[in-house]
Amino acid sequence: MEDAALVERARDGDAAAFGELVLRYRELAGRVAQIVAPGADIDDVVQEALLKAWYAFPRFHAGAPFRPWLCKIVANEAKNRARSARRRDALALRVAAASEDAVPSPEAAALARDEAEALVEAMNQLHSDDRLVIAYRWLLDLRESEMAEALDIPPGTVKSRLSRAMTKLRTQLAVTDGGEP
Amino acid sequence: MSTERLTQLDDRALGAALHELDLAWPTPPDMVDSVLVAIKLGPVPRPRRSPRVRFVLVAAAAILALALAASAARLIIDLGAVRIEPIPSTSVSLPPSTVPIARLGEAVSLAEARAAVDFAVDVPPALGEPDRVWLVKGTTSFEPPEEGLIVALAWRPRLGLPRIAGTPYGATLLIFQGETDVAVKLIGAPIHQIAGQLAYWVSAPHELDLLVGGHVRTFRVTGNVVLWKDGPLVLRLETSLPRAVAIAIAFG
Repeated sequence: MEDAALVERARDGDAAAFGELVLRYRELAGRVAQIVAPGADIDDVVQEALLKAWYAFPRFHAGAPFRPWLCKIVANEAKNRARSARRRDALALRVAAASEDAVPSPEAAALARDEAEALVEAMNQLHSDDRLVIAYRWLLDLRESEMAEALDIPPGTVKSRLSRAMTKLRTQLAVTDGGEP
Repeated sequence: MSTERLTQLDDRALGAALHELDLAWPTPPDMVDSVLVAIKLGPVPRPRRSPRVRFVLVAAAAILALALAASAARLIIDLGAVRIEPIPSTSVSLPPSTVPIARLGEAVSLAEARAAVDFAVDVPPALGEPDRVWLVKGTTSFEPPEEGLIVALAWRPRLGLPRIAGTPYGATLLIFQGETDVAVKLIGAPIHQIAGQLAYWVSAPHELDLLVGGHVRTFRVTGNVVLWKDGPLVLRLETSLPRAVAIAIAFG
């Protein structure tokens, strides 16, 4: 069943339909929470956000896309939790363990890993707002219209917000490398 | 060093590098059952509060409402190809970097610029013929790429037209066509609407993002700026002149 149909049923109080939406979007919700509040209890953040989404359904516009609406709720909940997170040095992103697949040489593998770790370290150093807008576009594949909804900003502002965040990422990469920003 | 290569990439290429990252994401929480149980139990009733606490909360809520109303007044102003977006003044963190128009576009004559565009390139009579003219193609790196054409004109300093700090010019005029944002002004100071006009005056230092090629270039503007909409065009006049004089030049 498509999201729109599940959303309609959930809006009418069908908890089972909402359960299906939870199943479909729990991974995305967890990733958004991780990006915004890495030091918080992610499972707790996601569960609380999902409950808030359930109780907010009466205000959800029929026909509107569910994914960015949920992202907005999760991100807001994560921000609230980030303020009181116990682990302030937790990392938002981590490079996965090295794979044995398809890298042409040890040197290429080492270079690829170096770049990946540098990129992830730079992302982790960004303010969570900048990290989130970059992640929405390049890690979570949200479209521009979805980003506008998820960030609660006008569509025309998405581009400049993203580009400014990318500029800060580049600056952070230079700092990470020990150079001048 | 690997980061040097990354810092040279434009937004799209850097984004592609991010997209290819193999990240260790958290395991998706298995919480369908717990969420459904929580829904069944219903919302948690709020604890009653003492009268004193209620007073404090009401007062806090009133203060919050005032703060929210104040922030709602800081509206994003959309002038077509130029958007003015208020930001907290503490966010203005870039070192001074004036708009190097000469490096952004192609130097042309005024006649060539007029021939290249399908809109009127009107010169403020008080300024006379510009000393320099450029054509700048503003494009976004977002898919699909969108273009907006910018005509840039500049006048050297002279009597009555003092130099804009950090630039070789006494006045610059940018003319934007289209509705797609190719420029975003980020303002940490109040924006003043000019009475009776779809026009704004910004006198404090602020930031300007110009979307040129595959990049957003961010600049710290040191001059005073009049921004106004004229039909499908948006015009931006920067000088170091006081407000009344700059407005008279813009609308003269």
